Amino acid sequence: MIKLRNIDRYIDKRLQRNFILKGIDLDIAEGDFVSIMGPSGAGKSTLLNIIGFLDDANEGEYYFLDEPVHSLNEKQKSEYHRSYIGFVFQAYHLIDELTVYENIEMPLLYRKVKGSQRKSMVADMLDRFNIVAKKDLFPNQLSGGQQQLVGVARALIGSPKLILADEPTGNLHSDQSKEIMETFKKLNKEDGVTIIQVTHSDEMASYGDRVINLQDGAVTENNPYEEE
Amino acid sequence: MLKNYFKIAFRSFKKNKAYSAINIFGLAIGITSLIFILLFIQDELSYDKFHENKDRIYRVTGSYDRGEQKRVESALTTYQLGPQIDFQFPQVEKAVRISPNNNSNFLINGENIRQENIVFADSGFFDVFSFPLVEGDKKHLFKVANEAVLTQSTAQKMFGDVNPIGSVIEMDGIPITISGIMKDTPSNSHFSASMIISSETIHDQYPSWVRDNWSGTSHYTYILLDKNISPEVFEQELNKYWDSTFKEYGDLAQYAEFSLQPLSKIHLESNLVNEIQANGNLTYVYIFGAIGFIIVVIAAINYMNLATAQSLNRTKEVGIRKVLGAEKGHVKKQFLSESLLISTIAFVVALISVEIIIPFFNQITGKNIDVIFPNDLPLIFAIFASVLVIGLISGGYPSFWLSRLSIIRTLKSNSLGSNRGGELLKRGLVTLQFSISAIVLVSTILISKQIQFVQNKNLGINPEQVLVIPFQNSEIANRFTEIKEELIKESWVSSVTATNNPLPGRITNWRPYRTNGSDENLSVPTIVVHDDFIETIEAEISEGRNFSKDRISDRTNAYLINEAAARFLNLTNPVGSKLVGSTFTGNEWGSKDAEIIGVVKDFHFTSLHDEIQPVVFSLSSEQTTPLNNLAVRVRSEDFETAISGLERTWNTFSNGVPFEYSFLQDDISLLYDAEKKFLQLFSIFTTLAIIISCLGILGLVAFAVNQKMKEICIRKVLGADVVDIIWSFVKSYSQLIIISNLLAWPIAYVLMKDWLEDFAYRVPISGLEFVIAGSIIFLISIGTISLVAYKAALLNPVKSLKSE
Repeated sequence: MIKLRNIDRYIDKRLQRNFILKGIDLDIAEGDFVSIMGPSGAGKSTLLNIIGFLDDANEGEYYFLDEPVHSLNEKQKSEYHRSYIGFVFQAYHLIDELTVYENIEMPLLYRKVKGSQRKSMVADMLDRFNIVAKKDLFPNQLSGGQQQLVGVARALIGSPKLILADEPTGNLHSDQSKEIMETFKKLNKEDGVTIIQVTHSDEMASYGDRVINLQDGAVTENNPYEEE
Repeated sequence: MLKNYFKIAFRSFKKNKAYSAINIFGLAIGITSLIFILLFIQDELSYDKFHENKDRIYRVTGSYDRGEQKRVESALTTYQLGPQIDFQFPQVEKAVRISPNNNSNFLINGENIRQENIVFADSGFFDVFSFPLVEGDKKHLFKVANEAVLTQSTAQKMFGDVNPIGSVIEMDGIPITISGIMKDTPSNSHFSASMIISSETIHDQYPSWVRDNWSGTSHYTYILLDKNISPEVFEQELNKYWDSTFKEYGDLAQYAEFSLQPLSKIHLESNLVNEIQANGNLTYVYIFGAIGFIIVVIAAINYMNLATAQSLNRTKEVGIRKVLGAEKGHVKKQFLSESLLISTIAFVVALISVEIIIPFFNQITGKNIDVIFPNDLPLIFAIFASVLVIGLISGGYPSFWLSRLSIIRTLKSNSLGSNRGGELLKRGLVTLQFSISAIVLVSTILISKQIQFVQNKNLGINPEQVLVIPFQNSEIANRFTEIKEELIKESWVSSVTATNNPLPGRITNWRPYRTNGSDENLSVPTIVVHDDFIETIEAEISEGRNFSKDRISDRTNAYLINEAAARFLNLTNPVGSKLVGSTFTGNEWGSKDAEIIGVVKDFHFTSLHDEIQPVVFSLSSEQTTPLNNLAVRVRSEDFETAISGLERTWNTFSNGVPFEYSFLQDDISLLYDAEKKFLQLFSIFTTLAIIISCLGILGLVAFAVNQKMKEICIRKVLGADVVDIIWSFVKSYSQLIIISNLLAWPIAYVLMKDWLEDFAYRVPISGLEFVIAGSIIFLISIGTISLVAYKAALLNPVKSLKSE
């Protein structure tokens, strides 16, 4: 599903070139649950952003579902965001001015889903995450865990093939974190959704079935648990 | 999707109430001003356009020789011209003479009613002009003499609810039958009437110089020209005919030269001697148009600045939307529709304000514009369309900017997406805004200075405490000496005189004069006065002596002239010179060869727009033009005693004619009515422009302060005091304000110099105006900035640091 070849990402400063990512080669198959780990500044988020088309690599090739991403235009990328990729952020990134219901509904608006169908899809999602009672609340009226549930629900409503999660549990306490991770696991196993998460925590990484360690912009360990 | 956009727009308005209010109100004020200005211009341009035949109606005006190659361009023509055109030129469908602005007393059902604004008109009046008749048949109107058409309000005033058709009223003993009722003359007509009386009715009353003399100027002549004849061609033919007819007689009339004025251009473009009423001024129309445009530009800039500033709050939302699959186009569309929504709200607010304010507007402008909705749907649509364009343009920049933001930058919470290019643009726009405000303010100061100057300028006379009383008819005028004798006994009367010329006013009565040894006649306007004239208006004798009551010979053998006349007549030693002049009673010419006994220091008789004219003063006698106005100087400010005393005396002589008076001072300031109205409107719009600018700066500063709240608090924690914090904001804006003033001044200078050229007597541009305007703008804006910064600096730092 994802094929990265020799990906470089760098920032040019006056005399030197600072590499954030250097020579990344990576293959992720459909149905994988991958955790990207590594110390701060290793380039985890940047890698995730590149995978999610939020950032562009300076060098190298990236194929998503055999489509060369490096030659996609803005519009086509938006099309992928709408139909294939869901995002979950550490800071939730819900829209403050919209209610829970409206936040979850939003991706459907960009996909031009019809009103009646939208209604049932959002209702489904609220049901599934057990937040029906909260549907008319605004994000700042919810706890962090609840907000993140909404964030996940929003990522899932477009039935994406790939979910990218940047430290999804970073702001949550352990019970809430577990709930989120269980959800991810279930999605992965039952619906076959590919999940890539960035995390610091071994516990969270253990929900997945593959770990990629990053150090100073390079993959140092690919799949340490493979033996298991 | 649109619903979603509007929902989020409304919620973010609610969240940022202050900004949204500033935004909407700034724009609404701008649109309101624009609507009023457009209404004003529309009304000015609509003058006389309601006549069906407007494209074929022309006013014939005359240019008359006054000697020394001086010509007078007058709106008046001779009484004879109309019938002559009718008779000689088949290409003219109809020629109509009118004599407007007459006042008379009527005997109606035994009651004496004074009626002003009477128009005497020829029988074709209702064929040429399209004043709609409510009753009566225009085919048969005015075919005979002694007929009148009343306007609806005059009919109401004279007869109440009784139908007046067929009733007979008496005007100075002449019976007149009411044969029609017309709608009140609209305010956008260059002349108005309370009633129209057929000219025939008073033909015999006219003095012979009106009736029989071909060179007198007394009536306005309008023609309805055949469709296929060009006015230029007709003008030539008319002048050719006139020349050939009068040259052989050697008549004075041969010196007249006629021009045609299209009816629709009279109000805005005609500025001749003896206009029927004060006309509009095309320049003012342009100026207001420019101001309307300026205000809208200021409001749009404001809106754009605030929207751009506020869009910083929305960057995260844009990022999220993009992650969820929004394209650039979606983001642009969202913010543009938000901008359109705000402009639409502002538009609605503006419409409501217009409805509320319109009576005040009418009061100031003296116009009679109806509440516009729904009368002016096309205008409203046009304005709404331009409002949408404003919304698109000013919402365009922020939406363009937002749509181009990279997702990563917007989602990283610590970088607020600072926008250097945008910052520069914003500062540029603020500078532009302040420059415009400065230009407008400097202009306002100069205009009001000029108008004050004009009003307070030493006129050369002292108009205070002088009452002017028109005689209204010749019987009363003939008893002037008796009236004067009565009045002079009163302790509150200081002096009494009378003149033929209205005070103040354009001096007419041009008479030929010849100096010693010259054989060329020069035309000089003449004022016939009674004793004590110089004393009453407190003019000054600069050379020689005043008329004296003790010298009987002064009556027939003395002239006073003003300094301008001495120059015009080329007299280096005027006192003692002989002047061969003439007198005219209105029926009979006589000659008056007299000595110039003194020179009166130049004083202003007309508005300061005009230079002082040469004038000859002649004492009233049997041979001179009859006196028309009584002028009384009273001793004290106790005008109540004076007015009631005057009325008492008047009533003993007037035979029931009601008493009328005015203060000379008021009459003089009426001459500047147009300027005063202009100034009033102008200052209102200036104030608005400045308010909008300040609202803008308030919004911007408030926003900047909000953005820098964390910085302010950290500074405070580190020991900065309130003054330091305020200063850091003031500093960055004061540069802009100073720059914008420096940019504005030269432009304002050029504009105002041009405007002042229009006055014969004007205030100098001292430079002080610029400093004052600059200081005002500086103080207001720095005040605003300091206030906002002060409030921020007083906040408890813990609170705002916590929230980060």
